[in-house]
Amino acid sequence: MNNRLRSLRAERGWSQQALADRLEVSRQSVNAIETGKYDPSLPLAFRIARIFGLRIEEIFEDAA
Amino acid sequence: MLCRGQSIAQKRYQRDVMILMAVYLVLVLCSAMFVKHGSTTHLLVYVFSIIPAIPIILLIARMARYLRDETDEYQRYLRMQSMLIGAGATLSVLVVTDFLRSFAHAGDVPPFTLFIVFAASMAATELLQYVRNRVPSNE
Repeated sequence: MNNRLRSLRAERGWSQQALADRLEVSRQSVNAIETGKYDPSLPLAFRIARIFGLRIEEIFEDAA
Repeated sequence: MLCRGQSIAQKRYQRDVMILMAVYLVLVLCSAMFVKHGSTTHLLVYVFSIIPAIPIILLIARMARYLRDETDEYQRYLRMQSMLIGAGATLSVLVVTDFLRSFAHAGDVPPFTLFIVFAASMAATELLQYVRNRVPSNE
C-alpha cells in the first residue's frame, strides 16, 4: 500500500516525532508506515486521516 | 502513550521482566543449594525442581499480557514477529532432535537448550528489527 504521509507531514512542517505524539504511537511506527514497511490497521488509518483532515483514500492507495 | 520513545506497556513489561528474572535467580540458587546440601525427600526434590520454573512460566504469561496492553500496533507487531520466530526456531530444533533421537538413537539435548534457543532467536530477531527500523534523526 502506498501513502502520502511523508509529503503531508512535510506540508504541515511536522517532524515524525510530532506526528507520532499526535497519533500516540512511536516514531518508529510513523517511519515504518511512511517507508511502506508496515501498513496500519483501519483504526490507525482513520486516526491518521482525522489528524490530516482528509479521507483515508486521499492518504493511502492500493499499490496494485 | 509514549515515554521517551518507549510505550508505557513496554516500560511496565521491562520492569516486570527484571523483577521476574531476579526472582528466578534467587529461586534457582535456593533450589540448587537445597537439593544439593539439604537432606530432602524424593517429593521435595520434585518440588524444588519445579519451583524455579514458576517465574519463567510467569514471564511467558507476561509476554502475552504485554501484547494485550501494547497500544502501539507496530510495536505489538514487531514483538509478535519475534515471538513467532522464537517459537518457530524452538519447534524446529525440537522436531529435529526428536527425529535424531527416534531414528539415529542420538542422546538427549542438554537441559534448558530449548528455552535458550527460544530466547536467543527472539533476541536475535529483535536486534535485527532494531537495526532495520532505526530512524534517521533529521526526520
